[in-house]
Amino acid sequence: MKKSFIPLLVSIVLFSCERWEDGIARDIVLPPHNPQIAGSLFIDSMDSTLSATISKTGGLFDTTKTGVIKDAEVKLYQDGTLLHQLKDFSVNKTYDKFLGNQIGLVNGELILEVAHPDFETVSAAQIFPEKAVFTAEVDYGGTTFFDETSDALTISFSDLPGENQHYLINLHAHYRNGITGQDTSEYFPLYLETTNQNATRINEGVILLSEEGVDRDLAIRFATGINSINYLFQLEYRITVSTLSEELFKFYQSYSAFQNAQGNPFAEPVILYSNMSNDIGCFGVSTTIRKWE
Amino acid sequence: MKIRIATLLLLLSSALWAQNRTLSGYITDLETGEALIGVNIWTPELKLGTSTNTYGFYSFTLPQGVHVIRLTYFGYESNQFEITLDKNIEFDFRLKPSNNMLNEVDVVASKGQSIQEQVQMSKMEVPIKQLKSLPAILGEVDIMKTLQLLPGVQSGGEGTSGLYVRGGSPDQNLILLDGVPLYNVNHLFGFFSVFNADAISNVSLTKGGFPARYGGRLSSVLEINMKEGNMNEFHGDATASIISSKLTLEGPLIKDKASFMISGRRTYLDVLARPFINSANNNNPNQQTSPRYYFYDTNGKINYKVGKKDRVYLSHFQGQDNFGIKDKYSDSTRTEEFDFGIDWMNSITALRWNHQWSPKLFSNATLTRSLYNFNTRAVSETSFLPNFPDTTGQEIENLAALYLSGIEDYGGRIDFDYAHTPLHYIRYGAGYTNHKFTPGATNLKLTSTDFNLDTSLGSQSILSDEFFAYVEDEWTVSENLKINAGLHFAGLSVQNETYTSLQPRMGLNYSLPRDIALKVSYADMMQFVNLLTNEGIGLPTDLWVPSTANIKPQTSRQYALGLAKNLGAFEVSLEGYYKDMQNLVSYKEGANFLFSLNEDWEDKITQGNGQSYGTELFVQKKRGKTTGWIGYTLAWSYRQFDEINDGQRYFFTYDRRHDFSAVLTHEISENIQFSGAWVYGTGRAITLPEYEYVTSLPDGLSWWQQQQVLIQRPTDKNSFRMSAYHRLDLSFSFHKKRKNYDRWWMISAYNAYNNLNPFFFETRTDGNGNTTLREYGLFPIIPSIAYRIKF
Repeated sequence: MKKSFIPLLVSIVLFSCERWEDGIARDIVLPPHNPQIAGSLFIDSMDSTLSATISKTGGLFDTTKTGVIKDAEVKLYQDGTLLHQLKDFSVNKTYDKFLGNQIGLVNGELILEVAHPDFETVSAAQIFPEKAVFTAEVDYGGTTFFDETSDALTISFSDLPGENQHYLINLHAHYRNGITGQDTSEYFPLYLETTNQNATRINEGVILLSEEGVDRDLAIRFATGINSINYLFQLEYRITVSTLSEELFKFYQSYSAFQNAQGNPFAEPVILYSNMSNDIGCFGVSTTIRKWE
Repeated sequence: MKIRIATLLLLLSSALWAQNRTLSGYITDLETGEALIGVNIWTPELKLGTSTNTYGFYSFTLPQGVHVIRLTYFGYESNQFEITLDKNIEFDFRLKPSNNMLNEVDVVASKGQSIQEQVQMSKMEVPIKQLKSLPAILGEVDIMKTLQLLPGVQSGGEGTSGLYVRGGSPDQNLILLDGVPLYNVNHLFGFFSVFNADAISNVSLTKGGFPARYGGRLSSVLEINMKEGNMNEFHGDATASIISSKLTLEGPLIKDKASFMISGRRTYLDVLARPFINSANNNNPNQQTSPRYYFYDTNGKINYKVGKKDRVYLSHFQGQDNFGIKDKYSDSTRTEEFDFGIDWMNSITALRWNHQWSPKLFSNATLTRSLYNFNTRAVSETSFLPNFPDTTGQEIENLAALYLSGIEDYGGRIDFDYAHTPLHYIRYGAGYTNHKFTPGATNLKLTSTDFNLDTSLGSQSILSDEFFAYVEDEWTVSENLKINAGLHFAGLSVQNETYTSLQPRMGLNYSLPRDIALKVSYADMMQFVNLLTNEGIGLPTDLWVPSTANIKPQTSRQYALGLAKNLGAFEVSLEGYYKDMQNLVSYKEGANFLFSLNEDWEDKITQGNGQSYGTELFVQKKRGKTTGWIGYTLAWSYRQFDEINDGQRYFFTYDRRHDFSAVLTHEISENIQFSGAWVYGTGRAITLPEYEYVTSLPDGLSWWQQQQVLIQRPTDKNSFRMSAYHRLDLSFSFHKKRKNYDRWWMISAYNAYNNLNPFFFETRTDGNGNTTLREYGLFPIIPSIAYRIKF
């Protein structure tokens, strides 16, 4: 036993010294990435142009590069019948279709299909959600905003039983001259902040409100940041509410998390939501309604 | 009919023990007078036994008559004597330490304490003497690192002290130091644990089959007891190593009545590095940079025998880490100072009172306080001097950001041991803890010539009340069957919400032919505290948060089945387990503990489930010139959260398919000892960035129409494995007995064959846009030398 110790130790020391030259880091060789097609198309009922982005994936650890791609066939079917084909590869590097009018609330199942000779064809299905049914009430000077008197706006949604409803809410201030009544034609997006637990702020002026699987009436109240009682101009609030499909809602949620994680080494990694058949890209639809108060 | 038979049996059983007498008392170390925990008391003719509790107390009730009693305890000489029990007898035993704890002793004598006799399964005990003979890293024997070598217990990675027990996370371990929960056990970012082996007398880890007296965590209970202090003589133990030194003193305050133990440890990396830092700073007088790092910990305990039936203990532990960097720049126009620091500290205090109500009834009442703080601060001060452009006089700008989190607990509990008969050993008790959590508050201060801000952002303190009660009975049903059954009731009151849970516990030991024990256990557990940790990093950025009205308590059910047998000097056990966990807590995708000053921590987390299952093989040799163990675990561990990985189940980041460890200690000669440990584990499961693509964005997310963005897509959650972990540690100890003291030189090597064990990975992009993945090791081979004296 004693005699075997010294040769053993010498071997370990030699082995250790040899490994010392390798340093404390090593490169990991990963299998090459197999590029796939990534399609994204978001349609709102108020859109008069359909615009899709079609790209190919690029591996982060090999020479394949990502980028938008030409020569794809982008088709939109309604209940199995071709509704629109997005052909033009525009300066924006998107596949567009100019409709002239708003697309409106299309009935039936919409299927986005993306075909390209170099890739397997991918698709995703969507159904336009119903318009939001809501009432809005302004409580003039009824709250505070950063210690200043502010109007409060309450939006109350009627529940559609059996449907998981998700809303995107935007608020704009629109002014008219207090004396002449002349329209200034300007809409100022308002910063929205709420304590509603069903709501998530995804941008300064955009709030997501969701039933999250429970049938219920939803209501949200927030300070507008404006005290219209003291204002020289006539003020109108433009309330824009988009009802989101389940898939589009998930995309909003995951993109919001994705943005938060950008550049932060401490953040948990985020997989951006996808509903395309190859799990890359998203097809989402929304139905928008506007009210003025 | 069955009920009648059972009742009849119960009455017969009681009648049988009606003419019984009780032998009770304390068992202590002959030389130090310290209580010995878990000493086996065994009567061969009746094949019945019991053991001393945490305070060295035993109570052994037997039929009136003459009995042979055997006392056995690892590292001590066995005792056997005959006693006539014609009345209740109180007798305190003093066991003599074996001259050489590694000598072969009578293995038969230890029957009753052997692995196949114990009802408790999934419990691991590493004798402190054996633990101290294992390889010391940088001269420091580390209890947590040793426990990581046991089957079913995994390390979080290179240099970390966290325990991942049977697929659980570190917050699921109840770590009790003298009965008080300790929240953070890390020093030096996890390279050392806070436990100073010189101040510890006993360590045991329970991974499953939890008896009803334990509660509050899902995965394990780690009980560590401080030394009580030598009742007879004054002694000291001092060790100096490359980066730290420690000193332990113990002795009688009043001989045979009161004793003390005090121990302290501090690193001196900061002191050693100072000349090099000063030299570097001298090269650039305008720029002065001072990094700092140190940790210290202190343990103290007083033990006082108030009378024959009463003892009082007061114990205290405090440990702190301080890490930071201070940077100062000055020239003729301005002075800029920047100070960044992270510090964390633990402090616990316990006051315990033992009372022996009767030969059969023993109680322990404990009052506790536990404090854990984790603070991050960044302070910047700029002084613009009058000759700074556009400055009329001296102007000062201050910016201070302080991030605070922590827990403060005050609690009390009372436990009773009632040795009804040798067939029934009943334990019951209750407890209460008041928690004050500060889950992460940020204090911002900004002052300048024309602006002042002093505000607190983030979470406010949360108060909660936790309470429990339990009862358990260790029942020897027959010669072949023993059962430990009990109920643990636990509750939490927080934010006007009350959670309660009644948790059944059961352990069973059935003797099969050839002295093989079949063990079965079931445990239902609930946990009211959660640790939020970013899986991508191992810094002490972890936040302890409570269950709240919105965050439900974690729960688990664990089933285990095992076989155990003594094979000569070897103890062999094979166990399989399945653990189902609910309401686990994790950060949501994209969330982290930083950069969200006004966001509530509850918004950043989500709850989900987990499963883990596996098989563990453990072969241990505690006696002889060569001792050690081999452990192997084959395991799977999963997590599933609705809001993570698109709701799909994924591997827990510390899912480790294979985990193997071999630990060996060998006495080369009377004065030279060799020890080695080799460990192998499957690589950690992590998430990597994999590919990228271009997408458009819908309204509300895009800043202009038809905006396109580049999306980096990671792999599925934890679907990539880092390289496997393996490491060999070696150590030699050279002992010499001097006239007034013993001394040891200890030479050791951590990671002896210098394997690159991955600690973190990085993606690197070169000038041509090519990206590579690199994994980095933390510790190459680390040789060290330490000098120890004991007097």
